[in-house]
Amino acid sequence: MSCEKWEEPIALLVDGEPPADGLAEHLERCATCSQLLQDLRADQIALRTVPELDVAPLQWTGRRGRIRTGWWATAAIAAGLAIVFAWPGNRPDPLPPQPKWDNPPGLSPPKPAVAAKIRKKPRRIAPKKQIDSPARDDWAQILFEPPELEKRLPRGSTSEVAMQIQTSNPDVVILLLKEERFE
Amino acid sequence: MTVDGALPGVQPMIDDVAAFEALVRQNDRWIVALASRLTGRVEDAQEVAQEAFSRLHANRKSIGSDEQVRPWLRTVTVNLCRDLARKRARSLVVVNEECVARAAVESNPETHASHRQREEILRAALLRLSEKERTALVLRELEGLTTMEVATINGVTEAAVRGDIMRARLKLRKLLAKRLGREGQ
Repeated sequence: MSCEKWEEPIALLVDGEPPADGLAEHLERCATCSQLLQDLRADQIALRTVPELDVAPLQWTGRRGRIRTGWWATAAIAAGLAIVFAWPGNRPDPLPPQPKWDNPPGLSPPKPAVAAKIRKKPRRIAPKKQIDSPARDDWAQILFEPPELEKRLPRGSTSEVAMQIQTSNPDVVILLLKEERFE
Repeated sequence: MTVDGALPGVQPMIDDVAAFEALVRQNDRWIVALASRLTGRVEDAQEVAQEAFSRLHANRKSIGSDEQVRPWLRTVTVNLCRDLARKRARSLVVVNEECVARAAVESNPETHASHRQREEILRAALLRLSEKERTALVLRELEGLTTMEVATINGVTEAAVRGDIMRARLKLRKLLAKRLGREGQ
């Protein structure tokens, strides 16, 4: 048996277990294992003599930090919360804030009926388009603020200036495109 | 009513706050010491001790006799330390590495480390053990419990406890040999 395999029996011996067969003879012949036994016993003594950490005495003041109430208190709290949320004055405004549209002359803003219809119906999320096209907000910005477009694009590039026509159906938008070259 | 050599009885002091406070004062030191060896941090040890006494107060009616208080507190403390160690497993490893690294930098492997450094190295090495190994070794060596008692507290077999303690000793040996610069395999 190699020395590595004697480690476990030696550790058990330190713990007070009876020695394994042949361990005593091996310890007499092997200086390494004999040293291991001495080191394990020294560690055992060192472990037992390590002083305790200096800790201030515990201050017991009952169930500190823990709030425990009876069932009646829990019911009272639940009833109070129910009253708070059920109070008419505490109801939140059901309508979300109106989006701001900077419509140029000639284009009518969304009709209130359409806007209300939009708010009440769940919004359909259109599938993402694979083409690399600007977002809807970017198109709106291109439409309504063409002078900035000239500043953003380098010379020689082309762009499509879009005109957006909104229909009664909020999911249908008509775009009119034309090309311009900036030099 | 206090019995000589035993802890004050719990049952008679159900409504006696002063008596329970006296019970806390008699036991807080060894509870905190046990918890500090298992968790490695004084703050965690105090938190565990507070929780253990809170649970003792809450379950005082279910503890039958005086002799059951100390084992009951020990078991609860070990369980709380185990839960805390599992929650803070990552942070505990970081703390251990810091302690061991600091001790290794300060100590010269060519010469013997100072007594205080050796204590720090030993504490840090103890925290490098796994939670099961550390608990088994601390309860066996520092609390003086038998293998069977340790097995009862941990909810495992005696053979499992022997294995944990054996592995803990060998790991500790290797860690200490590495940090203290002792010659050995």
